[in-house]
Amino acid sequence: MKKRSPLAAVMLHPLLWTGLLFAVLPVIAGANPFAGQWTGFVGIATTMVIFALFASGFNLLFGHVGELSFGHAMFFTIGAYATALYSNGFTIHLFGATIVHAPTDNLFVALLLSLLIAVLWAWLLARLIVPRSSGIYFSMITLAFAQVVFFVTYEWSELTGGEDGLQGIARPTIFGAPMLNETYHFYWFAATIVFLALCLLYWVVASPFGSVLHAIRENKQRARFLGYDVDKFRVNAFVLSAAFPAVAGWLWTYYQQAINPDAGSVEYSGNVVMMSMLGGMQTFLGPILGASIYYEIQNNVSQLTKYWEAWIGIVFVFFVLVGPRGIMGLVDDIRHYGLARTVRRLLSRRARVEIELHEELLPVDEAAAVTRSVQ
Amino acid sequence: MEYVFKTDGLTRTFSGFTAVNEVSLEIPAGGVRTIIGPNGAGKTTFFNLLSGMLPPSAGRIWFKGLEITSLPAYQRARLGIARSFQITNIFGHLSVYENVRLAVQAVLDGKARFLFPGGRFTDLPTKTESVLHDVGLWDARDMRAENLSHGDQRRLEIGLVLASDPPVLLLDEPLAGMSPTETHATVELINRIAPGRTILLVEHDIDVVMSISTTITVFQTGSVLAIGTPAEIRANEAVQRAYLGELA
Repeated sequence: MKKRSPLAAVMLHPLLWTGLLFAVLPVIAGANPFAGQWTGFVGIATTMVIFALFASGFNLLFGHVGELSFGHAMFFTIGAYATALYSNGFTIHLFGATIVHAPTDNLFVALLLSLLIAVLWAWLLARLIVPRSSGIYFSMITLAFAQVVFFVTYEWSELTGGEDGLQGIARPTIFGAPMLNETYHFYWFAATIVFLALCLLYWVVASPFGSVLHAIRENKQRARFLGYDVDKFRVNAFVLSAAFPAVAGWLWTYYQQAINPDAGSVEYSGNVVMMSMLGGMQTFLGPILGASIYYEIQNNVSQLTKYWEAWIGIVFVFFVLVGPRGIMGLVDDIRHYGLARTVRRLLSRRARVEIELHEELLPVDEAAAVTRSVQ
Repeated sequence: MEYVFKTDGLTRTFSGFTAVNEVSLEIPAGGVRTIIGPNGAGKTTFFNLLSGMLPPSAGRIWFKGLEITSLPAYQRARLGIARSFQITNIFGHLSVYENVRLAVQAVLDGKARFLFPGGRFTDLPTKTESVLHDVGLWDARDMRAENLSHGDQRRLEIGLVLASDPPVLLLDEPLAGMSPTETHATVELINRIAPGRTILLVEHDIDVVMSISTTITVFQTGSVLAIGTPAEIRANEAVQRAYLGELA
């Protein structure tokens, strides 16, 4: 690795590419020249940018800290429902009291509420589960809590509308002006918000705080013995990674103008895992690109067959087996080794990069003692 | 006498096996304090107890007058106790530079500044550079740590320990698996950094042990067999029987 020139640093900056992608998405999202569909759909583009944010937030924990949360849709759904309930208003009866909230139109307050509730919930969860679990146990317990949130949205019909969810959510006005009713306007609004949020996320990842997260991913024990309070960093990362999906949920509600419990389902939690791995979980652009490609496949293949999910599965399996570092990993390889060598590396068994799970090293004397007690 | 570590009845058992058995000793400040002993004598377990990697089964530990028996490892590191590992323990997928930078950053306070770019820590790049020069890895700074040779990885490990400029270093077999040239360079490095610090060393290379140690503590089956200067240890009959004799 040589020091990059300033020009190269700008040219290779992930935020530049994110901006470029968002700029062309309305033109290319869902386009398929083979089927004679030459123009994109702005609605698909909107879905892509919202999920780019959801997946990127999730990936802060997955790709950068190395913990797989299998329940991140809970933060997405919390953001979405908070926004829907705030906008539509609600009346509930709780412990003999009647709580009424009138319909309100203020997107900033809705955003703050979404963030506040999601972050508070994430913080409580993180304090509870992060010091006690990692690896597969962490994945399972996040899944369990996500199911709790899912069933609250599913069962508490009085508040959440149950299985049907909430409909007729008005697009918000910006300072009183109804600027978001046009699909295009809403796309640019969403893309701008997502881009700003991604800038913030990039700043976090590139900061010294972000390096510590990488250190924890690589080797928790070493990080601890350097003097880092590993669990505290993991808790903070968990809370941060919950905030971005909440913002995505906020946008999602305004975009869909309706919300139902699916937003918090296992399927949504799994989708962002797939998007991150597809795009490349250890890169910043990975989940952003992954979200776009996921919906590109969904849109094009679902026109051909109702089994489009099987095709997504095949693409996913292809990447897990052949290029576990995802599309961005392949791009990296092509930059370093050239196209021909990359293809050869992909085809040879040796070149497969393992997704390593760094186990905590067993103290040597302890290992020896265990051996001895077995004998 | 001023001590860095004091232990009282320090014991650690693993499912019935006693690795460290009621060790009560004071490790004086300064110098190279080496721990030797046959395999399974409890040297590394003793290190693990001092550094907070394992909780003791019984007994207490003090560090410069402060009881640290139940202090978590990261807080001990912040007190200035740095350790290296017998099995190379680095951030394999990160660059050599990043490895050292993380180690330097760990002890700079000001958590609020953590979200600002590295440049704001004014002495971070300077300090990182000087540590890389110290361990002779400046030219390899952009390499991934996992791609370094074994000897260089061991040196990086020492670099991680040195980066925080700790008053106390626990080095667990820093020379293991090194070539004679690498061993020579590493011994020189240890000698160079020793003044003003306390170095606890677990090492098997008996020639090195005899030449660089201020005192030697001999462990056998979890207990302290003898403590003394290299000359005293060489002359000690019990030690010769238990340990040196095997090598002679």
